[in-house]
Amino acid sequence: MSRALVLNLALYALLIAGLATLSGALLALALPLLVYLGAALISQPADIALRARRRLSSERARPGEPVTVRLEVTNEGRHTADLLLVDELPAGLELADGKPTLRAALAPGQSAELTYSVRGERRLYRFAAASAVVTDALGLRSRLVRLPAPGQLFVLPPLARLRRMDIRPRRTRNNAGLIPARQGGPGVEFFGVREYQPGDPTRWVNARVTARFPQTLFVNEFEQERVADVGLILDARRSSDVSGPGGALFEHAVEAAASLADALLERGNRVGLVVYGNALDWTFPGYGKAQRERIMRALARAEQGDHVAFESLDNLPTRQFPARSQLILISPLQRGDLPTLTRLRAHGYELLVISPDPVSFERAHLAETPQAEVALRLASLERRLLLRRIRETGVRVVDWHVEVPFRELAEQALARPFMTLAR
Amino acid sequence: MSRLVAIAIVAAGLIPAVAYAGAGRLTEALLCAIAGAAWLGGLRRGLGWPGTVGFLLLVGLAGFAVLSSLAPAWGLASVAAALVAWDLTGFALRLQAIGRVVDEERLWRAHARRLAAVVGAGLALGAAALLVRIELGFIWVLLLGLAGVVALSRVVATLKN
Repeated sequence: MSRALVLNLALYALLIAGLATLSGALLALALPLLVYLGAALISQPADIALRARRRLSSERARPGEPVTVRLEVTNEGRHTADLLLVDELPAGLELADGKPTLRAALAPGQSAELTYSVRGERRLYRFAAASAVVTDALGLRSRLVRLPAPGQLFVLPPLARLRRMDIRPRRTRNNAGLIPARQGGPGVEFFGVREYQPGDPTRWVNARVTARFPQTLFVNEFEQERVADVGLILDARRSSDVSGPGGALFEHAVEAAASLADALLERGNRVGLVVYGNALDWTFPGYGKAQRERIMRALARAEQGDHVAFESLDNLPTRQFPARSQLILISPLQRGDLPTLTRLRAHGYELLVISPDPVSFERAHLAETPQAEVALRLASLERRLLLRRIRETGVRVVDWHVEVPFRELAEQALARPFMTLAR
Repeated sequence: MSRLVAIAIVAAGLIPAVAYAGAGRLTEALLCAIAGAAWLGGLRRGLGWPGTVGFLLLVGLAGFAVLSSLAPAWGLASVAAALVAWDLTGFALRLQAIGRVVDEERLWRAHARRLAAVVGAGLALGAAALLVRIELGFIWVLLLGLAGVVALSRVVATLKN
């Protein structure tokens, strides 16, 4: 019950009783209450001028890492503001320490700071405003004022540090890197033999081959290692995803994309990202730490979506990626995706598909009933068939059972995968 | 500061109880004491509703005291004490529910000062009303009553907004 109502109830009761009994003494009892009510009405500030400013200890954080939020409110009006400040937390953020509320009586020009800590899972959290409940001197009447205090917090996806990430695109860039360039030259891996040319180091001479052709001197040739263009495509179509009590399969895909981007950029490659779901969130290819930050932020804000234009992978902007570059698609895959993958291969892209397995993911969350078992077996067969068809087109597919950590999977499936395949 | 609130509640219960006990009305005195005790217990548990009920009950008992031919000064003191206790209880609970209070002691002092001024003015007006007697006819009483009701309706409408 509001305080104003309680006070009015008591006041009316005394007044009505006083009038009914014609008792002046009873009416006199109502006077302290009446004065109290009048004082509350008079003391309500007419103009409220408050300004709020938000500061975060960091604009980016890892999942679960606490971030301190500081909200400073300043009274820019001419009267003292007795206020209760309540900060509005973006949905999904949880309090780690403190409370997002503050009570203060601010004299003109005076400021107060509200401090608390939050943490959250991977997402972009946007702070919009804080609410200030300004009350009269006696706390009887209040007025709600919304104070704009924008801010944003990127909770970046979890990351697995990949020690080796060997890919073999059809075309590399000119700068030296770690990716085999399918060209002879200075390098580490054996590439072939050729005739000796003046200037070749003598330790390169291949004695065995030279012995078979005594008139000519042959030297070993090594494979050049360069940096490459890599396009990461994250499938964010809701129809591809499966959710369970422990979260969504999509989160595993995001983790994989983040780990791959981190590993590829660390090795000097030029990496771009497309999040394909509700819309096309395109991060143009680039190098280095700044690009890493751009991609991590794009992955932090990545959300699944349904859009009729992106139901299939047909609208993938393949021409945005440099010709004959390496594409890595992270997707649970759908039946209709096969023609697009075939087309990408036909365009000359080297394609790697990392496919989190929705069937095994769902199996972990389903009750063991005969019907569920049959359904899962059918789904599993269908998926195996799809993966086999995709592999037949020359696409390398890594089937990922997400109970295996991505780092472990990468160590096994991505460490030296292409050496035999490409030659 | 919780001591101040507790003292105010005890006073709010004790003043009408003493008045009733002095007149030999032990049931009402006991009722006042129980209302005060329940209010205090509610505050200790951080509950607001015992304070609301206690306030309304004590104001009602103060009115009943006047109707029961007890000295009106007791009733006026009881109403003022109940108002002070109710206000301080609400203030304490509001502060309790907030994460951080900037300069709490200063807030308390400022609030207590304002409250003392308001209740003091109310008491002075009430006392004056009890001492000054004006004879009014029924029509005047009716007109004044209607004006009071209309004024209060306006107040309630303003508060709602």
